[in-house]
Formats: sequence, structure tokens, C-alpha cells
Amino acid sequence: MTARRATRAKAGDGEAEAEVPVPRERIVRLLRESAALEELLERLTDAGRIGQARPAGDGRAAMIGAALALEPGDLLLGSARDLPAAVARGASLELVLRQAFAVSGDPALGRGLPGALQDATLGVRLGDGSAAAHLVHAAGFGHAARLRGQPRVALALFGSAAQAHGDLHAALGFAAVYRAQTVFVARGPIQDELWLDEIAQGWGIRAERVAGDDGGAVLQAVARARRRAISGEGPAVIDARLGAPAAPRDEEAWRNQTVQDAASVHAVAEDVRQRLGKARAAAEAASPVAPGTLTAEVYAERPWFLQTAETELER
Amino acid sequence: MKTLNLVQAVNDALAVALEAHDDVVLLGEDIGRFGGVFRATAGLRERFGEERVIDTPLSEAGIIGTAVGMALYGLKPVPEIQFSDFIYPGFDHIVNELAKYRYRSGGQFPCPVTIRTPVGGGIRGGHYHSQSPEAYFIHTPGLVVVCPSTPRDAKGLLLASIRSPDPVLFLEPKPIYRKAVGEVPEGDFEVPLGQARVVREGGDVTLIAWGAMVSLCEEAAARIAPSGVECTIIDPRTLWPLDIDTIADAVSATGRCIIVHEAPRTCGFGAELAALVQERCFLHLEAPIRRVTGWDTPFPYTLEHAYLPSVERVLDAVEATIAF
Repeated sequence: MTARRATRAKAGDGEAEAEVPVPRERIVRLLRESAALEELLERLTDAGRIGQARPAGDGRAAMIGAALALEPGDLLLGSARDLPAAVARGASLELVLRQAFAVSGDPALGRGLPGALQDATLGVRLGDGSAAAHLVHAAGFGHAARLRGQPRVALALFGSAAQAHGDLHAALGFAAVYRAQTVFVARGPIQDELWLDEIAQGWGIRAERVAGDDGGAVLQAVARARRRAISGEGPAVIDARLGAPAAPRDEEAWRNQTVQDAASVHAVAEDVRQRLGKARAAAEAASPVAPGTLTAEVYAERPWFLQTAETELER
Repeated sequence: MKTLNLVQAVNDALAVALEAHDDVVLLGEDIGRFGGVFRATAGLRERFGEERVIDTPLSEAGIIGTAVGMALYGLKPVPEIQFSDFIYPGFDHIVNELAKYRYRSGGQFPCPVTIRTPVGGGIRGGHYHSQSPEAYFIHTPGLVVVCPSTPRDAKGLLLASIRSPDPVLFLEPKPIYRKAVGEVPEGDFEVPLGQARVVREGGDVTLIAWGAMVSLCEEAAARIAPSGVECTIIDPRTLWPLDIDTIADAVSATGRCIIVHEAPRTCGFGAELAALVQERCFLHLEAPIRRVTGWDTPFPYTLEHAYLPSVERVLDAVEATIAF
């Protein structure tokens, strides 16, 4: 693998478009916050306090940049690994930790592995199963948005593992055929897979490659793709993966690009540390998910056999 | 009322749903321009447009997955899988995604998708056009599984399914798509989900059957009635969640129970039914519960008549149960 950092290698017809401004300070803060969160989740995993947390690793900047391009009615789909995107979309540290501890305050009633945050209010749906199933769901959401004529998109984040999966093929194919308002973003490391902008023509879908460690570039690419999707130009794939060797990355790279003195860097770190501590304390003090919820929301209403199960659980 | 066959009743229900709800969309292979391989969607694209009746690429995973995403948006998709034998490429999306979206999200992301698919053998369709996969889906918490046996029920149950807040597998018995003919209410009406139908009442033995097996049992009951054996026939209609009370009442009254289905016997839905019946009716049973089912083989082509339950096999089971 040699090609990387080829920003806007294939940007469609190349017409001039107004770029959205890049909130550099915010991205730096989110990178710091996400890194600290990931570190804490790993420690909690190692200590056996929570289930297996999955690191965002090299994909962090791309996840954050992509999520920052979304608007309130949009839907973010990804995996538990994509937690930084959920944070960028507005998930508080306390919400994330309540979800990780699977305690009250987790909107999904403690049913997902750490990081698999689901919050309909925020428009976030991170899963902990298939690497690629959500890509097809994103195609369907984007198709529905186009049918309805609404300025909403689905953003689907995925990694190289999804590239060998048939669902990727189905998702890109369906999205292209129906000009779905969907933006697919590949993030994280790339190894022996092909860059998607080199093969996307096979699905009839627009594609662009951006540097995955440049959150601002990803934000702008996704914002462009979003704008074009809702104007009827169809879906897009943004390949924001990182080949090897790949440095500098993430926060360090951003710090170098952002005018910040040592004192302000320290202040951000201290602020994150304090907020994370408070969020952890609140999550650890929260009540566990009630056993009675075990049979809730299997169906819209509990059928007789779940009522029976509920009665047995109460004994 | 109008007289329709079962596939016409399905078409009628879909037209009513499309007319009544602008969030209902149909999607599937060849359902638009062609009108469906069984003509279940004939004329609907012309009437409601290509954005409501959507031809799709040939990918069951794509069809089901897309429907899941549409439901997340707020639409009520009704995908068709051309034959239930082809549902397996979409199995992951049904079992791991569609069925669990509501549960996994704590109720935040319900997925009201109604998957229509023809089931059953006896049409010289061979292995890939004849199977009855209901047990796989009944085994999956979160799914509703429905199988009508009459045109009236097909229309009423399909409308109820489309309006259900839960995902539904709507299994259409294709051997009787055109054979089953009956009066169907015009316009909008529903048959409630979760309610079995008492097809026939008799005091000696209870037959439980669904789909194409209901009319088979009716024929068996009619043939044995002159000899003084009277059968109750129960059609669950909604296979899951099951109307166990109606079934238990019937078996308790007759003391004898025979379950008839096309799918292979082992771990078929009949096994679960037998367990549920014995849990509730043990002290009323006067004979072991019997099953008349497909054999534990892949669905055959030329020997499908030997594979499928027949009137004779049902009669043999009735006689053995009575004589026990």
C-alpha cells in the first residue's frame, strides 16, 4: 500500500463548492475527550468491570469529522468502535459511561456491549454485531429520505472488515440504484483491501479518498457528500482509511496544526479529566437495569409467554 | 363481499394498505413492472407508482436490509421474498437485525416491516421452491409469524400485519394461492393477529394445521365423519405469538390432538405445539399427541407426493389416536 493522504483524489465532477468551516478547537477537544474515554473503557474492561470495549484507534479523527458534518434529522450508524462519532454527535460522557456500565440512564436498557450506544434522540445507532449489516440499513434509510423528499441522510461508518462482506456490495448497489441519501465512510486502518474510490465505479457510486487522520478534511468531504445526496445526486463513499506507515495521527497531528499553547493544551486535558471523573462517578452510582426489563420491548406488547416469564422472574 | 382466490386477496390487501397509508411501500424482485411471479402485486405499480411499488436488484439481504433502514426512517415497508426458499441470504437481517432492533434499542428503534413470502410444496417446485421455514422464525424472539389458509384471512391478516408495530413474517401458502377461493369483505378490514380460527368443531379429536394443511384436514374430517368420528380443526393463523388458549380449550374438550404441517418433523413447529399442549392439557389427554408432517429429508422433487402429508396419512393418524 502506498497511496494515502490523497485528499480529494476523486471528488466527482470537480465543481467548486463552498467548504464548511472546520471547527479545529472543537475537533481537538473531541479527540482528547475520545482518547481519554477510550483509555478509561480499556481500563474498565481489563479490570472486569464492563464487557469488552472496542477501541476506535486510528479511526478516531475520521469518526469525529464525519459525525460533525451531520444535521439533527440525520442518522448515524456504525459499530461500538465508532463511539467518538457518537460523542461528536452530542452523546455526553455520562451517557456513554452509563451505557458502558449498562445501568439506568442507558436508553437501550443495558442491552449493548460497551460502546454500542443507541440513542434515537441523538440519531445514533451503534451496533455490536455484524461488521456490515448496518450499511444496508443506511441505504434503506437514505432511500426512504429520498422518497420522502426530506433533507436527511444516513451516515454509515465501517472498517476494512466490512469490505469482504456481501452486505457492503448490497448496500452500495442498492444505494446507487435508488440514489439514496446515504454517505458511507470507511475509517480505520487499511491493509490488503483495495481503496474504495478505485473500485466504486463498479457500484455506480461517487467516491472520494481523504486523509483519515485529518478530521477537518473528513468533515468537509462528508458535508459535501451530504449536500449532494440531498440535492438528488445520490450516495457517496468516503474512504478515510489510513495505510501504513501512517504518522503523524489524530490528536498530535491536530495539535500541531492548531494554534494552541502548552497551557491551553493542559487546560483541555484537565477539563476532560474532571468531566470524565464526574461522569464515571455518576454512572457507577446509577442503579442497575431492573430484571423486570428483561422481557420488555421484545414486542410492542408482552405476549402471554413473556408475561409468564416475567411472573417467573419475579419469584 | 367479493369472491377472490388467496393471491387476489393478498393483492387486494396490498392495494388497501397503499391507498390508506402513504408510508407503506412494497419492494421486491419483479414485483413492479412484472407484478410478481405469482401476480400478487399485479397492477399496483401502475396504480400507485414506481416509488411505492419498487423493483429491486436480486439480493434478499439487500431487500430485507433496505426495508429495515426504511422502517428506521419511519416508513412501513412490505418486502416480498419471491420464494421462502430464497429467504436465507436475508436470514441474518431478519434474525439478527429486524427481530432485535426494538429489543436492542430498548424500544427506541422499532422495525415494523412485513415480509411476505410464499411457502409450501406440491407445485412441482423441487427443493428450492417448496420449503416451509416457519420454525426458524418462530424460534426468533421479536418476530410475529402469520400464515393464512383462506382468502378472507389472507386479506384481513395481511392488513393487520402491515399495521402491526412489530416485524411480521407473512407466509403465503402458494399451493392454494388459486385453489383457495372464498368471499372476502370489500375495502378495509382486519383479522386480528394472535387469534386462532376454529375451522370445524367435533368431539373426538383436535387437528391443528395451518396454511395449505387446513383444507387437507378439512377433507380428512369430512371423509371420516360418516364413520362417527368428529374432528375439531384449529387454524392458529398467527403461528407466533400463538393463541394457545383456543388450542388448549379444544384439546381439553376432545382429549386427543394431531398436529399437521409440511415442514420436516424434527424441531418443526409441531414439536413446540405438542409441548405446549401437554403442559396445559396433560390430565385431559387420552392418547399421545401425534404429528403428521413432512419427513426429515430435504424437500424432494419427483417424490413430493410421498413427502407431503396426505389425507390418507391424516386419517391413519386419526384412527390410531382414537384407537389408542
